[in-house]
Amino acid sequence: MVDIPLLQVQNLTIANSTQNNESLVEGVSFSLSAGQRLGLIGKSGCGKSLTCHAITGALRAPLTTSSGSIRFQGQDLLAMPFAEKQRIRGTGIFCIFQSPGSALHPSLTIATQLLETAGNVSLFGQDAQQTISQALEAVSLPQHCLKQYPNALSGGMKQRVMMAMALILKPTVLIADEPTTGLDVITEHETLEALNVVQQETGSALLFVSHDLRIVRQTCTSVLVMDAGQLVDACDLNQPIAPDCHHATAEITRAMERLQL
Amino acid sequence: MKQFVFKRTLSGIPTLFGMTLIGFLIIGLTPGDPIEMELRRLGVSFTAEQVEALRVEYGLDKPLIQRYFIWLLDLFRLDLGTSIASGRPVLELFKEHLPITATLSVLAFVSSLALSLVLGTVTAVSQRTSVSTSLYVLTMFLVSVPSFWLALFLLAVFALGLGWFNLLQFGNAQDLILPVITLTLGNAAVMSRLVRERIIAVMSEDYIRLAITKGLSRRAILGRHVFKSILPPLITNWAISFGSLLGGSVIIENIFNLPGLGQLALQAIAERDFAILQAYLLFMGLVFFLANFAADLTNHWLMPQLKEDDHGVR
Amino acid sequence: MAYVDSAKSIPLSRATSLFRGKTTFLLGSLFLSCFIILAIGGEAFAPNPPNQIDLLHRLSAPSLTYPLGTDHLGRCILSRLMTGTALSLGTALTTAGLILAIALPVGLLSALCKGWVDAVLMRIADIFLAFPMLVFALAIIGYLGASLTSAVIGVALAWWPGLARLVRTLTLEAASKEYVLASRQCGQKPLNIIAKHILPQILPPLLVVLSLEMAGLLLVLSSLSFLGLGAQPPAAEWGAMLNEARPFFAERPSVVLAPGIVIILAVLSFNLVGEGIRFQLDKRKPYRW
Repeated sequence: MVDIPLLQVQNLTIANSTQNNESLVEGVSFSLSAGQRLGLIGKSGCGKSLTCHAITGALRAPLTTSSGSIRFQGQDLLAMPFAEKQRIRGTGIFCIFQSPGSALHPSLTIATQLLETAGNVSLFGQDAQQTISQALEAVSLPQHCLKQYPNALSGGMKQRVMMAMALILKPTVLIADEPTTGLDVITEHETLEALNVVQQETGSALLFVSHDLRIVRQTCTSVLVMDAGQLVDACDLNQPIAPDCHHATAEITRAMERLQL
Repeated sequence: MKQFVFKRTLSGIPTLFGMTLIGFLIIGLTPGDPIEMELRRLGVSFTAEQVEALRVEYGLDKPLIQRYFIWLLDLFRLDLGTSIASGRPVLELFKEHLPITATLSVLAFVSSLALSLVLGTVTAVSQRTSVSTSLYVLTMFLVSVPSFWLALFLLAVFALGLGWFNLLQFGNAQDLILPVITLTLGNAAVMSRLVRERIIAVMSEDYIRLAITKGLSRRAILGRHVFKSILPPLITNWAISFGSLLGGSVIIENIFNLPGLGQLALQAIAERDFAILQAYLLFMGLVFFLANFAADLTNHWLMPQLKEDDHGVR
Repeated sequence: MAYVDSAKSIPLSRATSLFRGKTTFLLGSLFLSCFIILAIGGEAFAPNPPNQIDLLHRLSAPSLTYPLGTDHLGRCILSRLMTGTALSLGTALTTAGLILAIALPVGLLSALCKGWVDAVLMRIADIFLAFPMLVFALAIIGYLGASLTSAVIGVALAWWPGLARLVRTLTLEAASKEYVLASRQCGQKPLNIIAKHILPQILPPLLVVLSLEMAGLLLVLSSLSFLGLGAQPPAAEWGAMLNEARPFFAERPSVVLAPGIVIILAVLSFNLVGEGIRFQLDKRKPYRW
């Protein structure tokens, strides 16, 4: 079977257009095929999140993708007119961002935010209600959350609301950008469980971004390592890390081992 | 909601009380004797006894505190006193002059509200197009133009040049068009800059990124997510804008020669007719107070989950 | 938002940001320095004595002797505008100073004393804020009688509460900084702490705000003069010049044109400088469409 990658990032470069086009991410290439779970790790500030933002199309103003391509099912996202990009967002590619605290709209109820998500996959009325309550159940959130505003929920609950959104949207590619940042260990575990549920239910390909190899190990089979804006290494997590790996990989592995002692 | 109304009303009472105090002091501490001054102004010869009699008639012989409470009681009975210059009750004069000012302010308020939302949204959302840049430059220019000059300019073009309007006389409703346009343009420019500012602030939030990532349409993002967030501070600001319209109408009434409350007040300043001035200050204060009150209630009604002090700018 | 992709958009966005940031600031500063030069040496540059009456050349068109024409008394409009700069800008500056003189102590006291002092002072500020600004200024002017001094006092009294609230907020923020707390624990005298630690923190943002308010002050003061409630003729204040020119507006609209444009330029230059500073300080990066 010929493996057609769902998402193919080629030579992606992200630059700051106001500061002499200084590159923050340079020449990143990787691909993701259907059902694959790929990890992306690296130190803070190495450009992992920027890569995610570029894929979802939510780069902030002075940053631009100055070269390269991002292909989703063969179509280049960067050259696409707005209406088509909007169609792919959500159902094609969806991203669960870090810092759940500020990710939900503070003055819309959870119900409203989930309903509009359902509306995006053409679910309305009774169907939407049903899908939403199923999704809440799957991520083990109580139904009364629907009537509440985000400020009444804890960080872990907010993150699970995001998971519920993913469940409703059933994206082809799901990106999780450090979904456990700022959560305590128990909540972290619950969140990862929920993410597992989501992935099993939707069959999405998963790109899991983290700085923590332990967590990545729980969810992914292979992992890419980024350092200083470049992709430096790729490892299979089923095998022991090779001794001749890149120093960034070695650094992360050593750090993890020290923590486990 | 009921509780909020009650609390907000209760906290407004000291303010209202303080407002009446300030309003009263403007008469109570008048430098010089208003009666003597008025008699001098009219060129009437008078004796000390006559002045004293008038002082008793107007209740000016009593101590300040007593006068304040008498005055306050009269105020509750809507007795605003008598204009010294014309000898007519202030309330009567107000009833005559109010319609023009009310029409002018309300029309200008509604139209500048609509215009500012459009201008602010366009300049905030499409930052790099030539349309939005030129609109932005236009608002920058309009906030720098004094309203009286804008009025004269519009008069020069549309009344003197094109002859579409009467020059400086008030006859029918049509003569309100230019005044309303003048007030609207200046006010809308100021308001639109805040709309723009708020939209940019909200568009930088993480939850907008989520809305984009979810694949919502532009209309949904702008109409639901952005608008819902900018509304509370905007409503608070709209009340303040209404206040500045009430003040700004003085200038416009003066230029277009409209017989409104502003003209009445200006005349009162010239004639040192303090009863009118006092009533004008209190009335405008009360309207402004009610506008702020309404804004707070609307905000509370729209988003009960926000705490009182969360409704931004003041 | 949208993928910020095409190569074309980069130079364009650069041009816009340049226009919005430095150029705005520079343009504003350029205008402003012209006005400051005029304010200092206006009389020396003026082609004619500003109050020289020439009834033979009433309301005349621009000529070599009178570059912007003459007003209803045959006075040179250009000379009057130039000499009026000092008065017009000076009045606004004085008002700003007066506002700061009220707002700074009130805000500092309110933030540092807390408790009932804070409650009372802010309640008073609330009462002043409860009136529309211009209406309140009008009432004060009515009480004091129309003159430039009462206009300045009226505007300052109507304007201070907003700034006092800002001072209070800034001070509360400054006083909660770790090093201020530390110096308090070291037993420094309160006045010392205010002078050494709090004022240096709150003055820069305060002055930026105040320079932005200058635009508004210029507008209000010239409006009052225009209504005949501020500077009185024959003073060459810009608003007052417009007021004097009003009856001759229908006869020769150009008599109101020049003073109006000068006011607009002055207000615009303050707004441009303020906008430039704000743009430079703006760290937000909105998602784009």
